[in-house]
Amino acid sequence: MVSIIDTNTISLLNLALNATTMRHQAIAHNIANNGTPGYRPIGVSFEAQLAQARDAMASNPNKPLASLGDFQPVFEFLPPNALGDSAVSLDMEIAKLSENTLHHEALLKALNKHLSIIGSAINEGKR
Amino acid sequence: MDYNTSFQISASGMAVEKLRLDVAAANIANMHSSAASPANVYRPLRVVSEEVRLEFARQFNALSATAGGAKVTSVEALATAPRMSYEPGHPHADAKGYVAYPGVNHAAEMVDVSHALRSYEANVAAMNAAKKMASRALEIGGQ
Repeated sequence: MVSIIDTNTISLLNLALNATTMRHQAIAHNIANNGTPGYRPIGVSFEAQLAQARDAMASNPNKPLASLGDFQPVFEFLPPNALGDSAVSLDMEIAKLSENTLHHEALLKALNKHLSIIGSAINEGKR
Repeated sequence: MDYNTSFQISASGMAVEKLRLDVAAANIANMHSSAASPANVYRPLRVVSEEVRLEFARQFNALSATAGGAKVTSVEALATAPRMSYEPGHPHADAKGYVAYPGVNHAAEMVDVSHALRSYEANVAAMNAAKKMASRALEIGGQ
């Protein structure tokens, strides 16, 4: 039987929330260093690792994601853009910031919904 | 999750930009500060800032207290030549009637002011986003 308290969903959401928080720190760091000469912008690598986790799950759906600890978001240097320029562009950073904030809120909403489903099961569907 | 770090990063960026603005204002304020000798005349200042490295390899469950951001390394005086103005009656005039004024580039200072202002606003936007994310996280489990 599948447990109602689905640990996969909660641990995945937890991981994704960690990633958005770290990405926020990276963007804030880039913005704070907007005027620093020779600064290399940083980002967070997470989605590529998540794709691996997804593949692992697809091949073995019943396997609990106990090995999720291996998929941790990490800070990395962003590659220079097409012009070979690696300076911070404030407009791109602000765009990334809005996207990241929205993504973070979407993840929190998903977590809330998941918890409310559990809550509704506990209350036998009442309320 | 550590929202403190995000706030500290944005705050450090704001502090740097505020100093940039202060220094540009000081340069503009001293545009007409003459001196008796060209060697003693006010020299325009520039803020030199650098990055405070975020710890790259750190894992989320081993967060350390050091936040990233930016910091001011030094405030350097620019080696610009003083602007010599012919004002024979001036108390600071030299033997030939020239008064030494600071070589402040007004246009460059105004560009610096705008740049510092926009950068400061960007830092405020990042901080507001962090605030929003943190307050949304408080709603977990609510109805």
